[in-house]
Amino acid sequence: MAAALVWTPVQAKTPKDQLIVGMNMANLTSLDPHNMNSYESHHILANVYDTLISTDPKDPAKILPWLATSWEELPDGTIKFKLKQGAKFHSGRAVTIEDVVWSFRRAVKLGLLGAAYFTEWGYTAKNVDEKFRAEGTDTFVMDPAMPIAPKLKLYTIARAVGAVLDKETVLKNEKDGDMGRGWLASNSAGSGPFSLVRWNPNDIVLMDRFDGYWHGAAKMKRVVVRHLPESQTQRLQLEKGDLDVGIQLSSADIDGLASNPNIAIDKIPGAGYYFVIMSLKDPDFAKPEVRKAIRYCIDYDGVNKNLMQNYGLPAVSYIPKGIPGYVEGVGNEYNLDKCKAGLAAAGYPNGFKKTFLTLSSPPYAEISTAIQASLAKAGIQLDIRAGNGDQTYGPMRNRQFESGLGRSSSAVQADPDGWLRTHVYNPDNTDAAKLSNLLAWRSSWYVPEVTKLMDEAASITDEAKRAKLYAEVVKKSEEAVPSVIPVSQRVDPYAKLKRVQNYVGDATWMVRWDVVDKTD
Amino acid sequence: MAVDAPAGTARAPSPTLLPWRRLRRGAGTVGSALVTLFLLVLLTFVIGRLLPVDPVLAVVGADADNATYMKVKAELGLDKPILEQFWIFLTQLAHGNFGKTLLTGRPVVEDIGRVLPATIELATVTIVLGAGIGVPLGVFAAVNRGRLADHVVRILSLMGHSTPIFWLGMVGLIIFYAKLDWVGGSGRVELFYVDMVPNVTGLLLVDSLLAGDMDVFWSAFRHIVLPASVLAYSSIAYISRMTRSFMLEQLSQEYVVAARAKGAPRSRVIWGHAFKNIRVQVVTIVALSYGGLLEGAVLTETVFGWPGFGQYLTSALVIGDMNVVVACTLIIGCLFIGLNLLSDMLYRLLDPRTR
Repeated sequence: MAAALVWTPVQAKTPKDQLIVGMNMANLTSLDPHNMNSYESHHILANVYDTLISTDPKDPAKILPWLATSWEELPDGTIKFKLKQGAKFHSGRAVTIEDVVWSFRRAVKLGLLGAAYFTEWGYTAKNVDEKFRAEGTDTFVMDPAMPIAPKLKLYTIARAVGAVLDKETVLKNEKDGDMGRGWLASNSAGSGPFSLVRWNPNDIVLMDRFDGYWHGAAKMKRVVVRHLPESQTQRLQLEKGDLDVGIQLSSADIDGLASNPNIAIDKIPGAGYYFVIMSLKDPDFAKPEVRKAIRYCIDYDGVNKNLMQNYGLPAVSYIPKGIPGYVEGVGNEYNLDKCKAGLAAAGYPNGFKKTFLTLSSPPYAEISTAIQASLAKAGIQLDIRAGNGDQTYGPMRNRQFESGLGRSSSAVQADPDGWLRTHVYNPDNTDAAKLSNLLAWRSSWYVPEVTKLMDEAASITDEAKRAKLYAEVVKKSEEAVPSVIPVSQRVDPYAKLKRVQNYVGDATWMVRWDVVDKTD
Repeated sequence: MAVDAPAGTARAPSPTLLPWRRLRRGAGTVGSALVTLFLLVLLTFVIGRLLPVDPVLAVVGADADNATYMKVKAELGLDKPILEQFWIFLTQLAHGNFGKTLLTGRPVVEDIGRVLPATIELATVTIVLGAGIGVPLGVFAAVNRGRLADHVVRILSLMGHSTPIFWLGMVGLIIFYAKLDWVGGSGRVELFYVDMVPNVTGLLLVDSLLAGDMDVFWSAFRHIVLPASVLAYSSIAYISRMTRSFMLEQLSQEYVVAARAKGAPRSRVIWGHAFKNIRVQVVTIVALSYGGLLEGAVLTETVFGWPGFGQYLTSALVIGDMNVVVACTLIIGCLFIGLNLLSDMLYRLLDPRTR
C-alpha cells in the first residue's frame, strides 16, 4: 500500500511546440468578446484578440500600451488613443482606426454582457456613434458621457471587452443585422498571437499560431485547451506529463501535486470575495445590531486556514491592504463573547433560524458547513440549501432569500471602485429597479450617502482625493453595518509543469500564452 | 413489438388482401412509433420547463445586469407561455429544425453530429466485449452450476454490478495509464493527433483506418480500451447473470435429459440444443444493454474526458436547455424503437415459431 502511494507515474511528454491546457469548460459559453464575462473565456480571448492597452501581469495597477502606442487623458474626461501602425488581423487586413471605433460601438450596441460596463458610464446605443469616434486615421477618441475617472475605463478596456475586432470579416458573416453575433460566438476575427481553429463546446479549443503577429510570433505553434471537468483527471494528466497547465484543480489535488518535483503551483489573488450575504428584507437581519453581532460569530481563521489554503486569502474588509482607500482597523473579527452579547442585546439571546443558500460544489459547501457550525455556537441555526448556480444565485438576484454564501468578482482589480461597488453601491432600492448585478441591491442594503460618495469618487481624477473618498465609503458602510461579510479574498490557483516557462497567471484573467516557452 | 396476425383466424386470408394487410400493419407500426415519439417530446418538454431551473442565468452568468438578462430571455423565447413555446418548438421540429443550444447558440444537430459518433464508438466496442465475454461466461457458469467456477463467475458479476463505475475508471486510469502506461489518458485520441484524419464516419477507429493512418488508429485504440473495458465490466456482469439463468431453465428441461440419455456429446447438448433455445432472450438483453450504452455513460464520459452524448445531454439537462434535451430524447427514443425492430427481425430469423 505504501509503495502504491509514493509511486511516480511514468513521465510522458507533450510536444515542445504545443501548449496543452486543461480546464472545466462548463462556463465557456461564448467566444464573442462582447458577450462573455467568465474566467475561462478571458483565457482564450486574451490570446486571440488584442486590446488597445493592457495591464502588467506582475502589477495589475500598471497600464501598458498595446495596440495603442500612447494615450492621453484630457481634463474633461476625454481619452485619446494613438493606434499603432503595422498591426494585422488574422485575415491579413491591417488594423485600422475604423475597426477600433466599430468594435467599441458594437460592444454597447449589442446590449449584452459587454455593454453593461459601458452603460454604467452613461454610454447608450444611441450616443455611442457620437461619443466613440475617430480623429484622423490614427486616433480613437472616447468622449465622456458622464463624469467618470478615466482610470476606471482604462482598467476595464484593458480586458477582453476592449478587444479590437476585424470589422470587415465580422460583417461578412453578419446575419439579419446581428453585427456578427451568431458567427462570432464560436469563430474569431482578431489580431492576437493565436487564431481560433475550432471550439467544440465542452470538449476542446484549438488555436494556431498567427505568424504575422506584430509583437513577434508566439513560441508555441499550437495551443490545445481540453475540457477536463474532473480535477483528479487533470492531476493525473499533469503527473503523467500529458498536460502542461491545469487551471481548475480541487484543493486536495493541489495539495497532492505540491510535493511533485516536476510541478509548480501558483495562486493568483483576484478582486472579489467569498462572502456571506444577509437580506435586509428579513426583519431580523434588517436590524444593524444583529448584523454587527453576526460578524463576530464567524470563525474566519478557521475557514481560511482549514478550507481555503488554496482558494482564498483572509479578508477583513472590502478594500485589502495596499489598495487606496484601505482603512486600518476596520473589518471582521471573531469573538464569540461579543457575538453572544450582541445578539442578546438585540433581543435574541437564544439566536434564531434562517435558510442559507449555497452552491453544492467545493469550496462553497465546506465553507457553509463551517459557518453553520460557527453560528450554532451562538444559537443561530442555519438551514443550508445547497444547489447549482441558478438555484443559489437565482433567488438572490430576485431578492427572495434570507442569507447565503457567494463569490463576487470585479473587472477592476487595481482600483478601489472595483473592490467596493457591488458590495455597497445601490442607487435605487425598489424591487422594480432590478439592479440584480449589485450585491447591495440584492440584499436591500440601501445607504444613499454611501452611493453618493461612490458616484463622487468615480467622477473625479485626483487620485489622492479619490482615495480619501473611498476611505470615507468604507467608514460610512461600517457605521451602517454591511449586509455582505467578506470571508476570504478569492484566489485562482493553477498548476503547471516546470518545463513550461514564462506562464504568468494574471489577476485580470488575461493570461498571455504567446510568451510561453517549453524546455525539453 | 411488431404486431402479428391475430391468432386463431378461422380461415386463411385471401391472397389479394395480403399486401393491403401488410401495408396497414406497417402503417400501424409507424403510427404507434410516431405517437410514442410525440408523447415523449411533450412530456420531456413540459417537465423540463416546469423544473425550477433558469437557463437564462446559465447563459449570462450570476453577475449579469438585468437588461442583459431580460434581453437574452426574450431572445430565447422564454418569456412566452409554456404551451406557446411548445407550439413554436413543434412547428420548428416539423420543418426538421431542432433549434439551437441555449448555452452556446450553436445548431443542436451540429453538436449531436459530433457527440453521438463518439458514444456510438464507445458503446459498440463495449457491447462487443460485453456480449463476447458475458454470454459464454453465463453459459459456462450454468453448466458448472454450484461448482467453484460458478461461484467465481457469480462473485465477479456481483462486483461488476455493485462497483461504482467512476471509481473503477479512476483506479483503472491510475494503474493502467499513470503507472503502467499501457493505455491512453483522457479523450479519444492523443492531443497532437486531433484533426489529423478526415472526419468521414465520426468513428475514429474507422476513420483512421479509412485514411490509412495507423498512428492515429493505435492512439484511438489505446484511448478506447480502458473506458470500454470499464463499461464492459458492468455489461458482462448483467449479461452473464441473465444468460446463466436462461441456461439453467433450459438445462433442467426434459429434452436436454433426453439428448444426454441419447448419448449426444456434451458440447452439442449445450450449444446445439439448450443455447439454441435461449438465443432470442439473449438477443433481447444484449439489445437492451446496447441501447442503454447509446444513451451515453455520463460518469465514464466525465472521468475519461470522453466528449460523448451522455455528458452533452446531462449538462443541457442541468441548465434546462430544452432544445438539446428534447432532441436527445427523440434520438434515444428512435434508437430504442430501432433496436426493438432489429431484435424483432432477429427473433424471426432465430425462432421459426415467431415467423
